[in-house]
Amino acid sequence: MKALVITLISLVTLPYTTSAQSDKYQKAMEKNLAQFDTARTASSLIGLMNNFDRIGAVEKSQWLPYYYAGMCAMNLANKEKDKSQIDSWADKAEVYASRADSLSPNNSEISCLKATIHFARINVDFMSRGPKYSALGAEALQLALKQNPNNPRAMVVLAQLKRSAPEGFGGDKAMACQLAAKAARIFEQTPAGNTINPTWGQSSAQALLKKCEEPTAQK
Amino acid sequence: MIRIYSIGLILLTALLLLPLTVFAQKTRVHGTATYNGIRPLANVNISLDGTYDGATTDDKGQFAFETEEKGLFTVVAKVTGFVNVTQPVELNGAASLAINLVFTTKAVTLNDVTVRPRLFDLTDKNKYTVLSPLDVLTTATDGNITSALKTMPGAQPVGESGDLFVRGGTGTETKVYIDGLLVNNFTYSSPSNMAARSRFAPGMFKGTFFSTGGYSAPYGQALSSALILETEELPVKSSAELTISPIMTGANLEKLSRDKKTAYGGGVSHTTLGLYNMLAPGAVLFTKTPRFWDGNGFVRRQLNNGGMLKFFINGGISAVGLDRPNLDYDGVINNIRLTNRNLYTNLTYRQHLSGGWKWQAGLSYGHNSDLTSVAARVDGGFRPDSLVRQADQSSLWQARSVFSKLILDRTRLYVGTELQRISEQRNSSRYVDTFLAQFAETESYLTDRLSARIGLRLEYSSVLRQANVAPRLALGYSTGTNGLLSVSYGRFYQKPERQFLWQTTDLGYARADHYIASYQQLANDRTFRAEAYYKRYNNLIRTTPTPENSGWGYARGVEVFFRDKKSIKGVDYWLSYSFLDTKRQFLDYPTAVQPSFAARHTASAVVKRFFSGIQTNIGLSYTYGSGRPYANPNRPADSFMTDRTPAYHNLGLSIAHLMSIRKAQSVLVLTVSNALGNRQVFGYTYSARHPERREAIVPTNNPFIFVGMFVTLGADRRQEIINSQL
Repeated sequence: MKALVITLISLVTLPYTTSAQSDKYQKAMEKNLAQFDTARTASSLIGLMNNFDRIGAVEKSQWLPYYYAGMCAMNLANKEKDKSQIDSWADKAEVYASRADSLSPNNSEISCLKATIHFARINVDFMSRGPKYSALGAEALQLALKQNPNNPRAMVVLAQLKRSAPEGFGGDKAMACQLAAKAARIFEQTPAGNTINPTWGQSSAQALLKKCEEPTAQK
Repeated sequence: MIRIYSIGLILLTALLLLPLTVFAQKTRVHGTATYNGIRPLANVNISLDGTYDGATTDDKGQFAFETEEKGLFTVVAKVTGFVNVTQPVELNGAASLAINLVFTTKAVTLNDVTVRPRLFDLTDKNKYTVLSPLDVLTTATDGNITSALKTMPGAQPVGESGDLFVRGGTGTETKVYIDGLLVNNFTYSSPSNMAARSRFAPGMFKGTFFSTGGYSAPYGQALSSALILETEELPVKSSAELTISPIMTGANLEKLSRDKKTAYGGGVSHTTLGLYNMLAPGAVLFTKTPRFWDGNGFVRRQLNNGGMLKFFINGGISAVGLDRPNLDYDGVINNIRLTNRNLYTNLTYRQHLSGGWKWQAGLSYGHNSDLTSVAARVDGGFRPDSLVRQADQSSLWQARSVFSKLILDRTRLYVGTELQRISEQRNSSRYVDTFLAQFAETESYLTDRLSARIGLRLEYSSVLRQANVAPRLALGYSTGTNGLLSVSYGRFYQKPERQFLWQTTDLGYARADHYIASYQQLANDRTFRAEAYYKRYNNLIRTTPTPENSGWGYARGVEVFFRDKKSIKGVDYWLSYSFLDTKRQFLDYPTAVQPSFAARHTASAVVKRFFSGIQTNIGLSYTYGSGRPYANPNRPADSFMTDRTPAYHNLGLSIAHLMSIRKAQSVLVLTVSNALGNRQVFGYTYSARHPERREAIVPTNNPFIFVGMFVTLGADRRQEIINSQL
């Protein structure tokens, strides 16, 4: 009888734990992503980065926790005012990106993240780093678009690069607007679901489009 | 009985299926994370291993989180810059559990993250003045690494030489290393009293580290200073560059393989001052226009085992001929001709080995030949009996191997060996030296704030039949977030110059002991550094009557450097000042005096700004040097070197305009050295027969103007792929 009880308990708990685990993962990700969308301060981003890191350490086959930990670190690099510290955040972001990469090879979103990390490094010294890291970033975006030609995030980031870079150094304002328009179309067609997959970028695409419609942008 | 069991079973199942939170007793885990129990650490990631549960510490190092887990767990604490801390805990259902996590060990590298603490960090080469290739290009008015370094504290404005004269030392007391390997003839050969440029383009190097004293044990045989250059890694993309200027034309190609693991390329350039001297004749009457042909090639390959192999070869031929009036005989002109051939090769390999060891190895061969002839011309014709020829041949083979490993989490150990075979020949005089050096050095954090570098170098030279032991020591104390106080001591040996060894090999090493105290503040694009030093020279070479090691000298001084990229938006400027008090008795000096290459006060100011509206970078540099001593034979012996040249002023201007020509990135450059045309006198050459006659040593062209265009063609097809997306 005792054996039966134990068997029954284990029978009941086994499927329970596995489904609970994935449910728990989904819930934990959703909860942290809700905070991620509104995180503005460095301390909240560091906290979120650590949260994603802990989830990643447990969920050994999921790339998203490390992807978002990398996004947090990349945002921290962009927020960092002390230029001597930017690289240490970017290094951290790169470590997370490569961990995500090893779990999900050839992922367009991860290539796009890598591009943004390169761009973050330019802020250390615009003059000496601009040419090298904008080229590395453009190359990563290139790869992202090859891996998924319809990744709107890669398009938005590329559009921002095309808009800000001087002509002759890869800048092309007309192309920036075309890319932003295409990204915006893809965003509109994508159903807004409850997903933990990357969804960012829509507002940036719209902001870019708005600038394109201003008459000054036409020249 | 069965019923009871059944009810129990149902209850149990229900219990399991209900969300755990309803029933589970939560435990609040809280505590603090500190370094050595004193300094609270913020942003530490605390996790209950194997679960999502955990927290991040706040500014006071405090954390708290809730967990429903029960049993034995491990708490892991991670933060950048420290070795992880783990602590076993038992969660037994108590409502709260307090744990204190104490970090004890600073990490030089943490897992795969490179840590760049702003405190004293020897691996960051804080001891050195670091210039980026762009700094060199926008500071120097001749695209020359050493001219940019002459705006740094410690370097003297010695305009008649391309060498770096540092803190009362001669130009030969500074040695140049490329990827750890010594480079002789770093600058072009030139007739005496004419400055020569560096043979290597600044863009070749990703880092330029200039040590003005107290440098570390991996380097030696330089009494004053080491210039350490590191070559670029793999390029981001293939490209080609064209240089078009009335003075210089060149083409360079850099090709990156499809797998992005191999890069190769090379270039050729031709420099001539023909047109320039026709338009603006300088102080020198050239009989043969200075002309330089250079070629270089490189291969860099990232191997599958992670190793990096780099090879480069650089060769050049140059020739110059000029007339100088003979001061001893009226109407006689000395015609000087110099032909130079130079080859330098550099092969390096680095790889991570098992057990945390890192290996860096290098092999290099260099050869230099200078053919000089001097002939007297009288009434337009050469006097055949006056012809003096001098053929100098130098070659240098060297091998180097350095192993390093992180030991004890907070100490990095370097162990290395260097072997050189040097052959020096002038006409029929020749000597060959086999030189061996062994060194070991540790860089460690003694405490959170105190760091130390301890090194020892052993050297043996076969031509001198002598060995030496050179200790090096540096201590750093971090005074807060950005301040660093440091003291260092080092002993440095140098073999006598070749012109003495040709005469006799019965000589020993010259020796210098450096004592340096410095304070630096590095923060937010602002660098401040103040340094005081004392340098004692012993066993310098004296030449009268015969070469012997009986010379001595000292140099002491104070230097201040301030660089600021932040205060004025878009403007990068630096100011430096050096005070130098030095005397030495060497060569034919009858007593210890301030030598001819030492200025007591040196100051420079550099300001650069990029105007994005017009896509133009404008840079100005100004250097001042107080008058330098010169020997006047008309004075009695006790007044040796008491005369002073006029003070040195040099305003340099550099304008670089970015533009695109048919989508090719181009830079149009205009540089002017000594833009104000101040008369610069570096010293005087006196006639031996008529001491009342003298000739001033002045720059070849004053001012010197360079106009050039650099066109980069990016051989990439990125655009096509983007177009296909639209």
